[in-house]
Amino acid sequence: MSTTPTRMEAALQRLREIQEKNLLGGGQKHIERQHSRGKLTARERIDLLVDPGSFVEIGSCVSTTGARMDGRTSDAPCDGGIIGTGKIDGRTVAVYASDFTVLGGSLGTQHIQKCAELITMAAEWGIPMMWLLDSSGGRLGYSDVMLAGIDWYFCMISRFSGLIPQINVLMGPCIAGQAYAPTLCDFLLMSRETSNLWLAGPRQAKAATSEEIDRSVGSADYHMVHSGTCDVVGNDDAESIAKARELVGYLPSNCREKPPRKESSDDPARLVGELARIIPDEFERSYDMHDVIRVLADDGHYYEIKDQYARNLICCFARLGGEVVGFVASNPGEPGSILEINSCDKYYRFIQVLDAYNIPLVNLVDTPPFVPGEEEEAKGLLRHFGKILDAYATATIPKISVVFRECYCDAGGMIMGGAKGMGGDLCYAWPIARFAVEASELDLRAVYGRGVEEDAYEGYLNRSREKVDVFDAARGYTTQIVDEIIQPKDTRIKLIEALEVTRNRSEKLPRRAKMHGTPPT
Amino acid sequence: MGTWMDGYLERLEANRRENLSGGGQDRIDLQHSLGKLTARERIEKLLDPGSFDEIGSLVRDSRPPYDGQARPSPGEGVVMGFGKVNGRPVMLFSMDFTVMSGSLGDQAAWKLSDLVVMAGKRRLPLIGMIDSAGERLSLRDGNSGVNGLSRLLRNLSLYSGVTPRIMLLLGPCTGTMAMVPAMADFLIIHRETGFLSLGGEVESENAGTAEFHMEKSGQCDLIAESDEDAIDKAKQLLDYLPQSCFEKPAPVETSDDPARREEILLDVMPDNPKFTYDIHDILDQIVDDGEFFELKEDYATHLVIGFARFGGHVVGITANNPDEMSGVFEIDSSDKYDRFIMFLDAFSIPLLTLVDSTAYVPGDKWERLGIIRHGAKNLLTYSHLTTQKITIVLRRAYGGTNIVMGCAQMNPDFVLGWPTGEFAPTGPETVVEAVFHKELEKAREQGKYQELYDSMVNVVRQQMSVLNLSKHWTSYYMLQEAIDPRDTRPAIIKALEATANKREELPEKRRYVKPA
Repeated sequence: MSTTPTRMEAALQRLREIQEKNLLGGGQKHIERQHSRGKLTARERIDLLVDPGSFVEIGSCVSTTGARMDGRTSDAPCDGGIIGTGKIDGRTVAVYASDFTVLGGSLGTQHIQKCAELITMAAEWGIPMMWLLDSSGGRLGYSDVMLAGIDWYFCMISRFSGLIPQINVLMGPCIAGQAYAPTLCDFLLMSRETSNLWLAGPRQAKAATSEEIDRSVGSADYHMVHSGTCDVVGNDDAESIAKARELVGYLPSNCREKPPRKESSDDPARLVGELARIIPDEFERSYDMHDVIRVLADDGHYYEIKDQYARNLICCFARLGGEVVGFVASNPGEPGSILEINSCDKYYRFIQVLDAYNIPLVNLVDTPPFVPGEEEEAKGLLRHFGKILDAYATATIPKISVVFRECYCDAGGMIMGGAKGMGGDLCYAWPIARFAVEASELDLRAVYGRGVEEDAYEGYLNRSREKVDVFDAARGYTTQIVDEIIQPKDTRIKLIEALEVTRNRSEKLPRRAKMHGTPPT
Repeated sequence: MGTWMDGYLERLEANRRENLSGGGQDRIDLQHSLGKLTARERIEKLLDPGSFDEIGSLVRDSRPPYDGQARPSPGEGVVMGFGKVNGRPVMLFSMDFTVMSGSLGDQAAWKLSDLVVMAGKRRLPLIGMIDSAGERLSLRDGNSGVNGLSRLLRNLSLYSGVTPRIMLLLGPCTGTMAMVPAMADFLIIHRETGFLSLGGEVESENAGTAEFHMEKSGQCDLIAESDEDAIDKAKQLLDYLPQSCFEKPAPVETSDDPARREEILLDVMPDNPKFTYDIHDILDQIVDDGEFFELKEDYATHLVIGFARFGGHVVGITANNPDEMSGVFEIDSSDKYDRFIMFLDAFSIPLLTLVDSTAYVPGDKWERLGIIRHGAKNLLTYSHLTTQKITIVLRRAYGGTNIVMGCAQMNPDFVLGWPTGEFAPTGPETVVEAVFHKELEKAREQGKYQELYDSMVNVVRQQMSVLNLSKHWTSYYMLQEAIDPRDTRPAIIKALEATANKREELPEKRRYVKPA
């Protein structure tokens, strides 16, 4: 017997060596450093994201093909980007993970091409694209990126936006151009301690504008509370990834499907009499709408998006009778109108996701009589409001609303299903509800004058400002405000009924030359 | 003639006379004394003589008066119909301030709502002239005005991108009605009489005015000095727009030579790349007859947008202006850019981008406002453009700006540029400091910092030059062709000709999910 390995044996040995080496990424020293920063390695993260044993890697033999400008070359397993497919609760997803132990997870030519190709494959295969991101950004000083014939991943993410869910979990830095990638995805989850999303980090910001910033700028909480760019914060890698898994459960695999149904032992006929205790019938008393959502949703579960941003408007996923819905609810427990610019931006993102992925919209309405003033107007209140009008009107998903207490067109009612001419399907109201066209108290004669009739308000304009009892509004079906006055305890039953009857809703919009109109921005 | 028409013609004539008198002579005199024209006078100024055909002239407010006192309500305060502007059919409405301060009533809301659908179905531009103190809608007694108003807003959304809508704000507009001009593609506001507000608290003197919406809110496209000026501007604007998204804007004959070279373009740029120049100096040289129709000119002035013609064909131009904030992108310019390029694409108007920008601005102030999602918004929008897209790189194409304004991998139809162009993630100085900070530190200790730094910057700058980078056709940092600045106009015209019949398809989906 010969001791020389056959050609096949030698080749297999070579493949094994590459794959074993890949498991160590940038080497033990870098792995330990990664752990000491409270971060997991790319492969550990993938294991947490997908069902055990379901990860199937592609491109594992890829390595770097570039050299630094001064000629220095480095070893780079997988070129710092691991891609493949796996399963989440049995459903196939595409997974990309940047490996920070390999050249800081920076984007080399091969790395970026792996990412861009995977997005394209995921889109063509109709499976969600999951990002596990931890990267120092473009591999600066390497000239090969420019020469590579790479597909431009921003363009890929954009063109496939709305075709497949794209979910990004950011667990490390993300700077400059790369910062657009997670922001273009449908959802951005960030780890509290380790992630930073920056147009420029402290060093670049100093170089560009001499401004000193620290790591609190661009952190998970920063983008959650201030910029509204982050959707969900996890305390650490494990929690962020667990939340991403949970989120996928509310989404279909692509825009041609409906989100997965999940059987529940929670009775669709369950009465919710406790709602009448949570929601006071004295309008000046407030309450937390989260308590209402918890009572309505199957098993009290809901999944909130941007929970610390524009807290006067709640956006969350939940199930009703096993079917996924998106709740958009005013929260009287928080100050401010739901028509503020930040709440409009939050709503805008969420309603697009719902419409793109066939998820019914349920509005829970209780808008205080407050219209934002000059400060918001100066920043373009009307165009932000207009953005939602457009998105709401062109969304062809079921649109169902329940008005608990107050609903005024100019304080948010118009975009919360409180005026059916906007295209809502069913609007229910509690027997204590009150409506008006205008909550505004502006006296145009005082601020503008110029020919407005002296008796304009008393004579005719106050028609719009009269607060009208729900029974008076419901009396005229031509007014198209309320379809049915419901008992508080039946609220869950009525919502589940409404979802059933609108399940096959379809609507053909007027034909345009392009897939988009010209809505305000 | 038999007797069957007895009395009817007189009643019809009486209706006509009643309509002409609007809210009464006193109110008409008052309107004039405020420097405003009446609803019908405005229509006369807008339309070709004798071309107005009214609909809905019999409509009245037939509800019992709110305070028991009956007021005239011809047309229920809205005069509308169809007519011609310079021979082109349009649909239009004009709110009558002499009738109950122009406030929106039940029937008026429905008239407007249906007019929007008519314009959409007939594929005609819609022009609206607004002058209204608010709403007089009720939710009692089966009043249907709120249904009408919400349908109006819905129809404006459903038919957005089908036909162009221009609105003129020639008086006040408040309440939910304020959303109507906000949904228009273009809004012209009268400097003195215009006032637009949802109805919240107003503090400062100029809140809600034309200037306020031009400089702050970004919701005003053009400011007019008089009703006549507003109407004139609307007509000029209409010249650049097609009848609907299924047509192209009409080309015009021009005596301006398509092959015209401009020597002066060699003198626009300052010698030092850190110095600035006014982008209008370039625009004025390259467009037909030097006519550039600028929009939102006092909002986010570092990004210039507007219409012009090249060889008689309409083009939408977006250009960084280095004279203002070095031509950076920030939140407002991102919004300005986004809406304009979406409009161009919806109506298949070619987009020309002229690039000279040092990038999106970093730092706490801007991050807090969501600078990244604003850039991402622009990326998403540009990625969905299928109209003709021509990029001209003039000088600096740094950071995100070169991408959102159509770099090679963003699927523009042409990427051309001047030989002075540079592509880079950020300026060469910043790259050198980021990549070679260790080497520079060492050099500092040896007292050779400046020497090393200068030579590094020089090397990097050479690398970033379009003449170097464009050796690689596969790069996203490349020009398909470098052009002599003097040939910019002929190059653009040839690119437009070459792409006149282009088609580009996007994946099938229900909608995109755009960053806010």
